[in-house]
Amino acid sequence: MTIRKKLGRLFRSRRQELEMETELQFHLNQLAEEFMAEGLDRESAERAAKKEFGPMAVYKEQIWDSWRPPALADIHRSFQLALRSLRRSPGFTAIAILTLALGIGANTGMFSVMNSIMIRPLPYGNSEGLDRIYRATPENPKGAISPADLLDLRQEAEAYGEIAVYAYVDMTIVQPGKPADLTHGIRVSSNYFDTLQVTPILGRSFSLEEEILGNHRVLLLSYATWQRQFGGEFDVIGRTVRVNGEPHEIIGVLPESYSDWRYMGHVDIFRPLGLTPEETQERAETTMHLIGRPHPHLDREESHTFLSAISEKLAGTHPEVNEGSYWWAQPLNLIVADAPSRGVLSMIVGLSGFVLLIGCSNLANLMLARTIARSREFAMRSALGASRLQLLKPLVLEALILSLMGGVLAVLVAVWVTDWLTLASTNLEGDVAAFYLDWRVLAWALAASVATAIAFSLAPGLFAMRIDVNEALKSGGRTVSPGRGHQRLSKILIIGQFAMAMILLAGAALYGKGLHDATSRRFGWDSQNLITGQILLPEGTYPDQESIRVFHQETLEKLEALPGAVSASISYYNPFLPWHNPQRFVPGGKNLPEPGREPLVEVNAVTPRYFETMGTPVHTGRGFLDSDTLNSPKVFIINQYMAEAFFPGENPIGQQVGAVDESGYIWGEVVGVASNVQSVFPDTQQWRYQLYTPMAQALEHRGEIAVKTNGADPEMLLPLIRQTMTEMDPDLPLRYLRTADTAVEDDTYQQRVLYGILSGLAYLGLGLAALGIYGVISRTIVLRTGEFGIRLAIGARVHHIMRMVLISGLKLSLAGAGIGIAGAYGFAHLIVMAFPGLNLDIVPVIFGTALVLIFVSLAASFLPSRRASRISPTEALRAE
Amino acid sequence: MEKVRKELLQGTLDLLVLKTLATGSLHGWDIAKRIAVVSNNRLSLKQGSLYPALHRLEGRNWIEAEWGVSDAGRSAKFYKLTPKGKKQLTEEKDHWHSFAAAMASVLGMEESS
Repeated sequence: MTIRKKLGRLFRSRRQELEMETELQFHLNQLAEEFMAEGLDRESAERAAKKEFGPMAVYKEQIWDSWRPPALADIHRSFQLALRSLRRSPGFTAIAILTLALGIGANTGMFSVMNSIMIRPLPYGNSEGLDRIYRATPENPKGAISPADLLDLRQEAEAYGEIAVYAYVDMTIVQPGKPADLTHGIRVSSNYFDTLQVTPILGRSFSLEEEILGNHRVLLLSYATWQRQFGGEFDVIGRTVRVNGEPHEIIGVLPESYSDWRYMGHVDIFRPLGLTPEETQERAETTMHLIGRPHPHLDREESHTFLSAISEKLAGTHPEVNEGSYWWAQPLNLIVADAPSRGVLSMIVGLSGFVLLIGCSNLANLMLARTIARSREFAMRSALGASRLQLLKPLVLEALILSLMGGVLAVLVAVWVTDWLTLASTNLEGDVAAFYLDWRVLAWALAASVATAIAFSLAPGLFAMRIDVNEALKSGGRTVSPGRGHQRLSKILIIGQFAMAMILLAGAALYGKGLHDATSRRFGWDSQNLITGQILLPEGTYPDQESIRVFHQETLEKLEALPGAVSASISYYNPFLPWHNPQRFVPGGKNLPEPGREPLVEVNAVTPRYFETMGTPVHTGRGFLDSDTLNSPKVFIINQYMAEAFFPGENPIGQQVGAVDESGYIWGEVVGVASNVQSVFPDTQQWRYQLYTPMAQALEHRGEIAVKTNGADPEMLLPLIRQTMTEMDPDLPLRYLRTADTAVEDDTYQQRVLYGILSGLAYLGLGLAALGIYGVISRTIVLRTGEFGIRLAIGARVHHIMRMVLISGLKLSLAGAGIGIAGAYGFAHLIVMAFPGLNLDIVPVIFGTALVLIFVSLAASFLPSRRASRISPTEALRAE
Repeated sequence: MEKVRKELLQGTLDLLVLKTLATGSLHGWDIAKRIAVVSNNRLSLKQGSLYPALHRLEGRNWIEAEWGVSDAGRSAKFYKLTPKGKKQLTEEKDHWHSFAAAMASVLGMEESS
């Protein structure tokens, strides 16, 4: 027999069935005709034919069996038995499938998040061969390199493989007749796309010559930018647009798959590197990011040796910048999620596993009860010589059917979960954090279903194998009352559920409380009645400091003149979002620290009315004045931490602090001490020291504008501000113009999504645990009806009975909560590790959670206890 | 008693079918008729029980089936022996003869004692 034929026989195909039907019917018809020929009428002939033919259904079953190997035929029959048994108790089946759908669905959904973020490879050719190369310094283990170092590196790169380079650059794009756009861009080396093995879908990628300054005015577009800004038109190739004030030619469009949100997905525009002459000499400013594809014949060890050789060489030739730095590489696929996010992702998968376990132990309890109710049947079969395996088979099969059906629904739940996540994670710029259901997720769902089935058929299975045959058969038709052992098993399951629910709930509550405290904290700033936005002045229009200064001055005058505006400012950063401008500073008049050991300070440049606009108090000294200009003496305002650390016990006002520069120190005078400020991000710990410099003394093209209002409707002011900026310069793009409160909300969406996930899992876990204790208490009451009847008959009062029931529930939940508190402490420490910026009120939150849990368990046992109180003693005893 | 007879039938049914098909390609109805005629109706079997046997033999590759048209013009499934089936028939026949001979001698012994 051919393999195909064999395989075909495994499955009862429709065609096969039809053929069999035709064959048997043909025989029946022949028989009937024969009987009719003997003189019977049609009806009796058919009846006689059926009698002569024999039991048709049995034959069909036998024929089907002959199509299947014997083992399969056996499984088929057992399967039908299990199905029939499940159909007899639709309530149990429905609850079981629903519980499993939720449990496996939550678990699969979380796995699909983990899969989408850290398991699925990046969309580049052979992405597993790509490395991200870093230059680690004492401050930044994942530092970039300087352009001059890059040029040195390139001469030796041949021994390593391909090394591609990119550098971030904000670009202002102006198309004729359209408002200016501020976009995220990168400058890339000409081998960038070849290294990633990405080919443009339209046009071509960059050539080697285009990397040279002067030839560099060519662009590649991301697919999304092509669609959004250029209407997806095919004749976009060859079109000229103005980028930062200079005409550039569009030469290609990248495939949609290139823009993966996990890695540089927000980059819209690509331009060749085009290093300026100044850049080629630059060794201190590290702006170049490296991606490497080592030769396939190099192993990890060898490629690392190459990188360390490079760093040693550079440290030798340029010790002033490269002393103490070393180069290292990490697989690109690994960097999309750093260690903490990997931790968080594994954590949510683990927590969803808790939910699944709670669901499992509910089902184990239900199955246990079913098995106890059927213990006579089990005893009978065991007495008739059924082996242990044969005894267990129906249980395992029932569990398998339930969990596979639950698993199918679970995939729907997972789809729903990921849809919600995609929606919740889509940020302001429309970047979609896409979550995929792929074969890995489906395989996970299947594995979870099978594991679940095994887990929850284990307890009843163990019970079934231990049934005492004599005892069970002797007890007649009545259900065997569960022995102490089985009650204990039930109780352990419930306690375990409550412990897990406690951990889930406490974890969500801790994180939620911490997050709420973090996003609602207003450390050194006031987001009320505040509107902020981002600008980038085109370099072509504003070539020098003076032109920027004039622009700033006029802009602020106009903004402050708007109706409802109180004050306005321009600064590098807002106080509520993280700053990224650390520099080394030293206090004047003190022993200078060793080079490289100077404290790091976050630096912000601000216009004079920044402090009143943001609500950051200046405690001593003065704020900045319009008279602090490029030509006046350099002045600084420092925060309280820095004042205390740099000038302990002294008056900081009038002291000197110096910025560490290649050539020495740039000194300035401290004129004021401002309040410490802290951003809303709980998990990014910033440098404690903060320093402000007057904007006029450190002008930059990019900046944050801010307008403090008198409480006027932002809906009215936002368009006015936009209009003012357009009037100032029609080529000027304005990004993220929104109220500060909206900004805080938009930028903390990830944390809120995580909180949503945690609380969703916690509620699910709590609900399932409540359902579990409700079920177990109800069953205990049914089993103890006789006992309660006796108690009532000899004078117990109804409330005694109710109290007994409630106390038995309370004991279980107290034990569970007790164990859970220990687990919750452990969990709290995990959260602290993953989010060092969060302040957790561990003790009150955990004990509050325990109270909630106990209350829920009381409520869940109160309902069945009312049934206990309605037991009629006479009836209960009669039944006995 | 019923049970014994059924078992006997099941053991021999395969042989009966193989033997009947040795004459050529036949459909189930014809096979049933022939068995009835050749055995003078002494082997009473439910006609339907023929079909599980046919499918079992087909599964063992002793016979093969083909759809065709019956004498009455209806479409019917025709079975015929495969080479493997022919070999099997010879083997089964020998087996049966030696079994029958053994049984006869045992029973004969009993009678004579």
